[in-house]
Amino acid sequence: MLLIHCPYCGARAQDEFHYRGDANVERPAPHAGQKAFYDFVYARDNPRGWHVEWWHHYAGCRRWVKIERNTVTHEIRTVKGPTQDTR
Amino acid sequence: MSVVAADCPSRFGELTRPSHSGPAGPDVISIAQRPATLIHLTARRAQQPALAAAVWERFQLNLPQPNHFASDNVNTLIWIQPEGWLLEAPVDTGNTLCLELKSALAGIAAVVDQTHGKCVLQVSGRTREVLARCCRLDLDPRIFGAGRSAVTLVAQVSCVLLQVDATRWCFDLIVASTYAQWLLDELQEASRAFGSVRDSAALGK
Repeated sequence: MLLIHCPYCGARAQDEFHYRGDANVERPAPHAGQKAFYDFVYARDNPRGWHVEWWHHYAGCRRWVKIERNTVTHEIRTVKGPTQDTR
Repeated sequence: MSVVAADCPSRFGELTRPSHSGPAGPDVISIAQRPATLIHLTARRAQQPALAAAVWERFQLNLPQPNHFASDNVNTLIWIQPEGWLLEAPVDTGNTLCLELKSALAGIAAVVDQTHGKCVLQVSGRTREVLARCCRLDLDPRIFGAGRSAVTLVAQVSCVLLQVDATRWCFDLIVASTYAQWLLDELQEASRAFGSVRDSAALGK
């Protein structure tokens, strides 16, 4: 069980959150081509170590938060609001 | 345990009954449904100061800080999300208040009537032990004192939890109406370990 420090609500258990995917993914330009859009929709890195990801605090403030989590140790280094830069 | 449901549209039907925690013992927990008008206010972009001023003028209440609520024993304002508050007002204000706020707060805040979607339960008694079995938050008054509120999971459903009286462990739980019966069942189940006797017949099940 992860303990996630929501920037709005404070420390909350992981089961109040939904994992919503990799936060590094950026939408390609409209005419970037089929390959770029295929990668945007389907291709994901599977890093060992630090990973920036979206989580949705669905059972609390209902805000999306950007979390930097270590995929090996599950340590959480930063939790920020959706518009704040994690790096 | 005793359960008291309000006379008017209640999710629990005719659920008024006496203690079932043994012949002489006090109730383990008491649950009462309190009819209330619930209105969700969401400040429009950069309009929070205007909303605070309008709310002060109408209710003489400050917009509470995150994870807190403000109350004058008639109206209660609860922080539920960034720039979002839930207003609990007496049930008889009903639709009139909502319409009044909608016109007063036009351009300042979105006003949504939640009265029929949410239900307020007052829980008192040995709530410390009972809630510890179905809520992951630390509700000790040293951390979660009077005036604190939280939107969290209680028995797997999303609830607004208000610490009304820290010395006597009295809480208000605001839950979606359709989950009210489930939450009631779960709280009863959680209180069984402390001597509460479940009386299915009285619950009409």
